[in-house]
Amino acid sequence: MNRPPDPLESLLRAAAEAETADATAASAREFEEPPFGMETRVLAAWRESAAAQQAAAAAVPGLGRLPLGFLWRAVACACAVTAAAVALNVQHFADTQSTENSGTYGELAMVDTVIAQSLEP
Amino acid sequence: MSEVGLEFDVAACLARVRQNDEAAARALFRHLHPLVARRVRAYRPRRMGEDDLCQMVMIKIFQNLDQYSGAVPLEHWVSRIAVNTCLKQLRAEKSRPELRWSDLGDEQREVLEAVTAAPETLDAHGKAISKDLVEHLLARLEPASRLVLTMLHLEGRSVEEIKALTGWSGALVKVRAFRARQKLRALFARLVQKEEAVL
Repeated sequence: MNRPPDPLESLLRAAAEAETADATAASAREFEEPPFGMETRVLAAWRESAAAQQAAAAAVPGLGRLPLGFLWRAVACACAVTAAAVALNVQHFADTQSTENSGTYGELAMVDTVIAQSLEP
Repeated sequence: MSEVGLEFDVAACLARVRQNDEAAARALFRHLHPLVARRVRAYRPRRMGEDDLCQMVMIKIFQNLDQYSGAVPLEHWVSRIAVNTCLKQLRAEKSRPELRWSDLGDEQREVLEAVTAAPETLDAHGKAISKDLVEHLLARLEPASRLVLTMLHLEGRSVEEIKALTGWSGALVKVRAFRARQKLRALFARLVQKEEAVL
């Protein structure tokens, strides 16, 4: 026994056939001239945008020629170097502090004091 | 028309446009307009004028020409801008009113009954009304769902083609299509149920 056709599938199939017919009719219209007003407005927007880009490039000499990706990489690299330098500096400071407080320098100072006391008349 | 023909050299024209050559820009506009018009006609919101949206897409293309790297064919890049602009406009449509049985005209009701009973009896006019009905149902869906179903079922595009046109991944296309079909089926069932209740 055959299953009854799915109504939604049938509707979609009929719509697709109508779409194909419409597309065929529309392809004949594709070679129509685009509206002149649209062409004028699009080209005006393009000229404006190109002029703005040139002005931006002129305001910061050389910047306009640099690709944006290069700028980002340069900034990221500078940040990484700064972060590494700060981390090294902090580590060095911490080492120095710990040595002065509880390390060799503190013990030597105590020995010096004991010797000085023992040498006193 | 010669520059718009098959021999149109996209790379050379783009190079001239980047040198601010007005004639080349005009030729590029005329070369791209049929493609943009086709995409806009297929995916625009029903309420928005074709020419307005077409102009919006063309302006976007020309303002961003410097971002086109040449990694993909220019037609793909242009299609993607057109499709995404249509999608954005579809998202901007706030209200998506439900399609009710009472909203349908006599012809639409007849077609719906014919589709349910004997779909092979539909003539060209009936098919056109079917398309109208499907568009009404699709208008109830979210923009991305509407777009994927239009491409898959009305235009008969493959997943690969939809990937190229939208920039979505293959998995995303399939998941969206699956969910969209479920939603469409639910909407259709509700419409048909209402029909039966009224009858």
